[in-house]
Amino acid sequence: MNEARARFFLNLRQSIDPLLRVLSNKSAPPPSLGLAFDISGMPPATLKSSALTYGSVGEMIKDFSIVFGVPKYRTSKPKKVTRKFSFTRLLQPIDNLVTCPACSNIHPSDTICDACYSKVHKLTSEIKKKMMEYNPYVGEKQDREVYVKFKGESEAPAAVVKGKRVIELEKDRPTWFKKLTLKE
Amino acid sequence: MSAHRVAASLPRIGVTIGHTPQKLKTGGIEPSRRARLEVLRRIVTRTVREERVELKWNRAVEARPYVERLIQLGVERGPLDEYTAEMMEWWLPEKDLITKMHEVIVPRFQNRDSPFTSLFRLPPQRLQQFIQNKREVWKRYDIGVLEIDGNPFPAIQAAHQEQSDSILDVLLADALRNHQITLQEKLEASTESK
Amino acid sequence: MKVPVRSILALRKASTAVAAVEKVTPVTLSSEFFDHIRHEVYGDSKKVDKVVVTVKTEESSKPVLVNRNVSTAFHCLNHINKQFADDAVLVEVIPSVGGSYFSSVNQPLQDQAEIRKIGFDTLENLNLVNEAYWRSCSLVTAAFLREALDVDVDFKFSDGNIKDGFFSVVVKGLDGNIFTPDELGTINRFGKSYIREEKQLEVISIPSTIAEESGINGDNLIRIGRQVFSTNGPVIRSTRQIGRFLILRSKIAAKSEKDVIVGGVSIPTKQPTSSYSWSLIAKNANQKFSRNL
Repeated sequence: MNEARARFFLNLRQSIDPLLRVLSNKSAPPPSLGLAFDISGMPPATLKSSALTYGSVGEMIKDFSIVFGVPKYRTSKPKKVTRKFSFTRLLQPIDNLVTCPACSNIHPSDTICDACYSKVHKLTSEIKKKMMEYNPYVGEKQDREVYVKFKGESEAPAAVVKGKRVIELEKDRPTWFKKLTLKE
Repeated sequence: MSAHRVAASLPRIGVTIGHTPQKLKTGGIEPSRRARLEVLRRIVTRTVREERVELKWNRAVEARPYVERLIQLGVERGPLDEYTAEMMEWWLPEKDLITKMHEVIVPRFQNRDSPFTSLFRLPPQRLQQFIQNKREVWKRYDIGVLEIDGNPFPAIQAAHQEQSDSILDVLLADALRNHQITLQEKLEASTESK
Repeated sequence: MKVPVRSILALRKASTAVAAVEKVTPVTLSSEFFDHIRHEVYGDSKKVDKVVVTVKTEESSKPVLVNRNVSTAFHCLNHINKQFADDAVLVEVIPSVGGSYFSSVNQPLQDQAEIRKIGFDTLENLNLVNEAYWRSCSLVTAAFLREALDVDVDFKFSDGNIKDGFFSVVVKGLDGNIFTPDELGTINRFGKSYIREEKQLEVISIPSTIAEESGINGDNLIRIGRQVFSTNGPVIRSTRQIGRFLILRSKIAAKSEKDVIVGGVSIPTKQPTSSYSWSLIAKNANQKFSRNL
C-alpha cells in the first residue's frame, strides 16, 4: 500500500517536472521528445537513476556511451574471413630443416647449429673475458696473438707459442677444441 | 676524391655487399646518413677489439665489408700509407686497436686472399627484451656471428670430416661408385649401338 | 650340381635343435662346453668377490662396485643408464695393472679397471668397431645356419673387411650343395626372426694355456643362443645391434669342391638408411661376392 503510494507520487513528479522546466526557463530548448518515455511501468529503483536531467557532462556521456563507437555497417563476410584466415595468419611449414651432423640438432639449412654454437659461445666468452683484461689507458695493448692454455696442460713448446700472449683458463680443454700443433 | 681513387686500385673484397642500405637505428643517435656510419664504426671497432661478435643479422651483413676493406687496406698498403692511416684513425678511434690491427691482425693475412672474415647465421632466437609490470616482452631476433679469421677462439664450425668410416658410409659409398660405373657403361654401350 | 637341398633344409623346431646339439661330440663346441670353459677360466660364479670399476664417460667418471669374474662391462655401463649400455659395441678396458685392451661388452671383468664405452658413433677406434661388427655378423650367420640346416655343419671364419662390401662364412658339410633362391628366401626369413630375438653374444676370453689344453683355436669363445664358436677378437653386444641383414647367396669354395661359402651384408641398427640405399648396397655386395673367389 505504502509502495503504491510512493510510486504514484513519483510518477506525478516525473510528469510534472518537464512541464515546470519548460514553463520556468523559456530560453532553454525543450526536452527531446525522442528521449521521453513512459516511466510508469518502470520499477522505482531504476527510475531514480534514469532521470532526464544530468548533473555533469561526464554523467551524460556515461549514460550515452551505448550510442558511441558502435558499428555502423555490417562487416562483410570476405572481410571477416580475410581477418581470420589471411596469409599472415596461416602457419607456414618450414621446409629447409637439416640435422646437425655433430649433434643431430635440427636447424634451418642456412644457419649454423645453435646447440653446437652455444658451447662455443660459452668458451668464447670465457676466453674473451681473459683477453680483455688489459687497460688501454695506461698504454697496455693487444699487441700479440693469443694462445689459450687450459688447466693441467704442460707448457706448450716455444715453436707453437711463438711469443704469443698465453691465456690460462681454469678448466680442462674440451675434446672438441683442438690443440694448436706444429703441423699448422 | 682520394678515397675513390685508392679504393679503385685495391682488389675486390671477397664478401657479399648487402643490396639494401640498412637503417641501423640506435638509441641516442638521431637517424641520418652520418648516424649510420657512426653505428658502423662502433661495430667495426668492437669487431677488431673482440675478434668475434654477435650482432643482429642485418648489421653483421652491413658491417662485414667495412671490416674486410679495413683489413685489406692494412694488408695491401701497410701502416705507412697516408690513406690507410687516415682510415684506421677514423674507423678505430681507440689508439690501441690501431696497434692491434697492424701488429696482430694484418700479419695473419699477409699471404692470404680475401675474405678475412667469416659470418655465420644463427637460427631465429626468441629472446626476452624486458619485463614491464610483470609482463615479459619477448622478441624474435635474427643473429649473425661476425668474426675475424685466425682468432684464438674455438672454431664455430668443426672441420668437416673428409670421409666417414662408419659401416653404412663405407658400404654406401662403394655401392654408389659401382652403380655409377655400371650406369656409365650402359650409357656408352647405348650410344655406341646407335 | 643342383641336388634337392630342400630335404636338408628343413627348419627345425627348437626342441630338435637342442637334441642335435647334444649329439655333437665334445670336441665340437657345445653350450655345456662353453659353461665348462667359463668355470675353468673364471672360477666358481657363486663365489663373489667385489672390485671397483670406474666407468668413464665424456663428462665424468663413475666408480661402480661389481663382482669380479661375473659382472661384465655391460653391467657396469648400466649404472650410467640403460641407453648408454645398450649403445655400447666394445669397451676399452684400462686395468690398474698392465696395458689397456679392447674387449667385448659381454665379457666378464677380471680385475679393477677403468672402462670406456665405444659405440658406433665414436670417432676413434672406428675400424675396431667395424671389424667387430663384421666378425659378429658372420658368427650370427653361422649360428642361425646351424640352427636352420638339418645336417651337422662346421664353419670356418675368414677375416673380412668392410671395404670388401660383404662378409662370408665357409660352411663345411653341405657336400657342395648351394642354396636355391627359394631356400635363400627361407633362410633369410629365419635369419631375420633369429636376429629379432635379441640374443646376447656371450664372450669368454681364453688364456692360451687353456686354449691349447681344450683344443680351441682362437682367443675368444662366443656363445649365441646355444651355438658356440671360437674366434679371434671382440664381438658386438647383442643381435639387437644388427639392423638390416641379408644373406646374398652361396657358392662353391674355390679350394675344395665340398665346402660352400655363404656371403651376406648387413648394417647396424644405429645407422638406419632408406630402402633404396639398402637395395644399392645389397646389389653391390651381391655383385662383389659373385665376382670374388
